[in-house]
Amino acid sequence: MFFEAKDVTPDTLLAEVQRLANAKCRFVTMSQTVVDENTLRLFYHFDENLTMSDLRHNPELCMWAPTDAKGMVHLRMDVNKDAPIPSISSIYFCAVLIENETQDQFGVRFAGLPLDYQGGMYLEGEVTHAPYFTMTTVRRPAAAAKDDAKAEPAKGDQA
Amino acid sequence: MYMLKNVLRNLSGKPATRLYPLEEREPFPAYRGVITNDVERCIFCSTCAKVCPTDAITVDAKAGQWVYDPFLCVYCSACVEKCPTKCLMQVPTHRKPSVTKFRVLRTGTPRVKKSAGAKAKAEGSAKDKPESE
Amino acid sequence: MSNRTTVIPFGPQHPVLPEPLHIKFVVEDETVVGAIPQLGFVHRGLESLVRTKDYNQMVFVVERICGICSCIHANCYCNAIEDMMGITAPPRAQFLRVIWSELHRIHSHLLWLGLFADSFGFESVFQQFWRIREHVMDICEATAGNRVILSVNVVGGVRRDLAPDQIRWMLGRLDELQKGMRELTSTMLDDYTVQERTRGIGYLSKDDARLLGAAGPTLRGSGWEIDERMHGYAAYSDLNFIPVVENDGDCYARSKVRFYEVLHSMDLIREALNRLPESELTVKVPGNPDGESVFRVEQPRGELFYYIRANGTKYLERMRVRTPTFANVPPLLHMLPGCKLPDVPVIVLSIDPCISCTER
Repeated sequence: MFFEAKDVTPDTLLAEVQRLANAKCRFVTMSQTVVDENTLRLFYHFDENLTMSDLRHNPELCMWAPTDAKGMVHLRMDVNKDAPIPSISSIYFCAVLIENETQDQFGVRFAGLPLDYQGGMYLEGEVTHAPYFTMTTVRRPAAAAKDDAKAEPAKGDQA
Repeated sequence: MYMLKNVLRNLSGKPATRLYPLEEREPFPAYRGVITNDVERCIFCSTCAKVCPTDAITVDAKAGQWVYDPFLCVYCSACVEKCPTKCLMQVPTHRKPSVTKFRVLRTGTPRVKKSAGAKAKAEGSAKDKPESE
Repeated sequence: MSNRTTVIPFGPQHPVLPEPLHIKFVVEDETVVGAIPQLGFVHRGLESLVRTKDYNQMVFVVERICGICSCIHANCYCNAIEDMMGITAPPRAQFLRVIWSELHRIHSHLLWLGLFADSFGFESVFQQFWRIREHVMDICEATAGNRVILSVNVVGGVRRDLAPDQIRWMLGRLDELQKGMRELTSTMLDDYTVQERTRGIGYLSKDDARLLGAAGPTLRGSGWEIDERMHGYAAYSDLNFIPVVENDGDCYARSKVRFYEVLHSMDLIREALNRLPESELTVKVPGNPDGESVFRVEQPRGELFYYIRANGTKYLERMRVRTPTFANVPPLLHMLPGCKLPDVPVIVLSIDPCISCTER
């Protein structure tokens, strides 16, 4: 069962995030999952910042079924892995860490990062392909043919 | 100044630690210790090998061998719970550290098909096979 | 930049840091003007193990992401998978999960209180906090088998139960723990030296805490009354839970939040032990998980977030973990400029860094 999420595109992303920032939401995180060979699906999770007093005065917010949003707002965005993705760090600075991590692990690029490690936050300089983009049965396209030679990544394999 | 009473009590009382290994505490009954196999009742179904999160158990059903690596094991006792004949047990004794790596081998009677009717080969002999790495 | 600046590296090995973290400080005459972090020292790539271990074996992997809050990771994972499949654990299992989670919260906060005292040199109260923490470790060992990594959660319920004589013994140990905490209250909260070292240091305003995405005691120390346990997962809706909030926003407020949370957790455990219902311990799991699900729980350090995606086989497709220290690093980088160099360990420890959670 899938939870409810709003679809955005790279063009409407910044406008939507600005609207949520004005509504006093808190940025929780960004999740990534691989859909097929060229597409990466990003989820942006925001929290509506409900405090205990809000829950006390509105008891209908207290009981949630598993399919409900549980006080969160989700945005779903499908991107092509070669196009630069707009960064939301100008609105929420805390997104800079998770966007750097996505760059390292999935081999995508974000445009407009104020603090950019350029793929060096977790990975050393000599690692040339992203560990997680081969998560399911996806292999990177033949443009990086040397990646198939070391197809199973050294990190993260079962010891 | 607020800790003065505490400090004086610690000075006059006995230390909070015990002199391990000269005196050992009695282990709690629910403590996760060594895993043993009562191989007489084992039917070599390999359920324990499939459930193990670290692949510490290897089962050879035809030869009737159950191999267990105590240094890969994380003592989670998932195998103990899933065993259908309850031949695996976890005793509260702590496994002492050792200087050589070894694997535990238990050999028992493998399951034979009822149509064959042949008798079993090795009869429940247990031996430890040391393997230095 | 004037030529009076120096760059000082902090970590990855440092006596006050429990886990390796590297920050480069740009310092001008003992005042910090900038901080650049570097993570990645304990990255083990645990999220990629979902390819080779099925979803039942992943419970044991997920427990070992962090060595201080392991039962809560397993709790969140099991709840997320149960949500996806549409099953709920039986009532007794929910209460037992609450009891073990609160025990973890107590031992984690006592560990932190000791380390925090050590960061400004108060080593005797550091050892006293760890001495009374041994009561909690003995309770965990007697009921679940191990001191920290309990391995009691499975998808569908719990694996171990509490007998009535164990409950009586546990209540006795909790009383001794409370006596120890009462003795150390005035030392930690009223002492003149402690207040001089922690008051006014590392200030985080209420708006900044929201914008920078802080979580847990960092958020509650700045005046937000937000705690994941108020949403009522796993029997918290039946218990009398109230978040502990302070308004000052400095290191002293955050340590007060954690200190009072220990006392409140002990009350929650006593209430849960009194109201433990009778039911079975696990519920049957129908088939394999399929779909996506999101779940949040309250770790001692803040809000833990799991996103799980499965496709109907016994191997999950994607598991994404966001730990609270990951969310607390940007507020840390905001708090650091403007402080003096001797206050740096106090500020870094006041967000409770658990770096092995951050870079699973």
